[in-house]
Amino acid sequence: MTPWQETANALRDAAWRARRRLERGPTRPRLVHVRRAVTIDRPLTEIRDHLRDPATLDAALHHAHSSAFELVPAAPLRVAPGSVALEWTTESGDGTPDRVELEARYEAAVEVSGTTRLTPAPAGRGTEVRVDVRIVARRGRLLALPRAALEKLASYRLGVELGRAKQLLESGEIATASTGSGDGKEPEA
Amino acid sequence: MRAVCWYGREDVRVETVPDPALVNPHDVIVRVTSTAICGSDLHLYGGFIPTMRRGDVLGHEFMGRVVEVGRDVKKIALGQRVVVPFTIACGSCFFCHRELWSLCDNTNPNAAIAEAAYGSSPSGLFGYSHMMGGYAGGQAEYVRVPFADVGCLPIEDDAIPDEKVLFLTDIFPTGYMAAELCEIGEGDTIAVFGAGPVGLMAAASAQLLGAHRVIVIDDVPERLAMARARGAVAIDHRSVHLLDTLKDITAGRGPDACIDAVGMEAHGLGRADITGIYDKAKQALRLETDRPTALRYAIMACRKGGVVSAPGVYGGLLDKVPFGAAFQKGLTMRMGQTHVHRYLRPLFDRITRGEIDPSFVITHRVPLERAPTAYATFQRKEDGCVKVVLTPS
Repeated sequence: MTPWQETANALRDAAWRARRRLERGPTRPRLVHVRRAVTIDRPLTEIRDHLRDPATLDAALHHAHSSAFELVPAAPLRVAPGSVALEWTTESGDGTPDRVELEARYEAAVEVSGTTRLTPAPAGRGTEVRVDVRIVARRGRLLALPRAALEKLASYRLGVELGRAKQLLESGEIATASTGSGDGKEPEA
Repeated sequence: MRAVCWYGREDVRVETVPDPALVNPHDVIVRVTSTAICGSDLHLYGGFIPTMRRGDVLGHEFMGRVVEVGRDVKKIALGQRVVVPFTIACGSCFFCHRELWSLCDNTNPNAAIAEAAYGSSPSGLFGYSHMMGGYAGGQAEYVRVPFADVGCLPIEDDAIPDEKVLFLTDIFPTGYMAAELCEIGEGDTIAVFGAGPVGLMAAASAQLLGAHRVIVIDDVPERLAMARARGAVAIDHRSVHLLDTLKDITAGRGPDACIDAVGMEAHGLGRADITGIYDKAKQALRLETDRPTALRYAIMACRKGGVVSAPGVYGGLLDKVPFGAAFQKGLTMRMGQTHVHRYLRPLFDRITRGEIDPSFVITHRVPLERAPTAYATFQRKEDGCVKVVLTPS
């Protein structure tokens, strides 16, 4: 058997296993854990105050944690619009002023919980923000995704959303390219 | 509005596209009065830069008048005449605070793509692929400029023609930074590889910064003549053994610093240069992304303990770069997209003091509608083309 044939067979087997997992329905919960960090060039107190403001929480780390849910709109994980039941609880973690814990549930299919730690960066270089997100998939199409792929996707989304939160906190806006032209769309005929 | 749009390899068209609109509170809209084709636009034109999409508006060298102002813009006013850097910077991040403007953390909406390719993302750029943000470029009648307060340099004196300040957007600061990175000292000889617009600006800047001797290397006669006319030693690499000649000029030591103003599309040093053929073959087979002939020669030519400065654009993977030579000779290698914001005011002052008029590189002035022809002429180096300025109607 040639290496190409071996690869093709392996891919076919993996696809078969994924399809079987889908057909089997609920199975053992799958847990993935992703961790990303970003340094925000602002003092810790400013970020903490920002996070404690319920109005801005939505726009910052809430946004970052919610990235885990953006896994769901990704093609293999799509769910029907309107089926989202999102509940957030926010609390100070262990009483220290530099710790914020966030927890959320997404229906029963996915449970997401997260922790955000704020630490002053060395030599006044802002604040190190470390986000840990734990995703437990109990049923649905998430279970069909290989663990490594799920972790990679979650990590990517979390990185993107943390970048946006950083943009918002540092520059006051989220960088946006779309202007009605130059966004890759051909002009209408 | 009318705009120069990219449609594929060697296919740009002037199309009617939707007008830009304010998107974020720090944006302004500029009516473009002058714009230019940059040598690095030719990398897009040649299809060497990934993540371009059909219909993308090109252009990162432009200036004009502000016609619309976002609600949080404080320093730039309606009607003001402005020059706009090709890099987009927020002015608020770690890198902007250190004047490393082209490394801004917050202006590339597609930073994840650049992170996958480079480990970290540089700033967003106008009209230079979706990996660099997907911002519409300035080869158009109008353009949206994010973070206008940070980037736009107002030109208050209407008596100063566009052509004199247009190149503050890119090639003048790019050449100047390349020369500045050489840390030019008394008696230094600087070799500039490539006599395109950036190479000529680097040579002129090296002179401004006090170089004893500037050597410019190319094979296009009119470009070499332009360098010679400005006091540089011009070498046509086709007619000499380049490394021997540079050693000879510097009495055996080699240039104190070498500037690679060619970048990823070097053509090699003629038929006898096997590396040029090798690079083209590998690039055609997708085994190499860039053709680094100039960089190889810059490393080999540079004196021990010297500096190699690379303003020429590189995008991916380079093969057969003599890193051993760089190591054994203790070279310092410096490079990167230009921190244009850092240089806008000082170089504007040099222009107004009459120390330099960057418009000397302009050879072609054409309406925006003729951009496709201008791109082809520039790419083929026909008709003595060194620099093209486009004027929207």
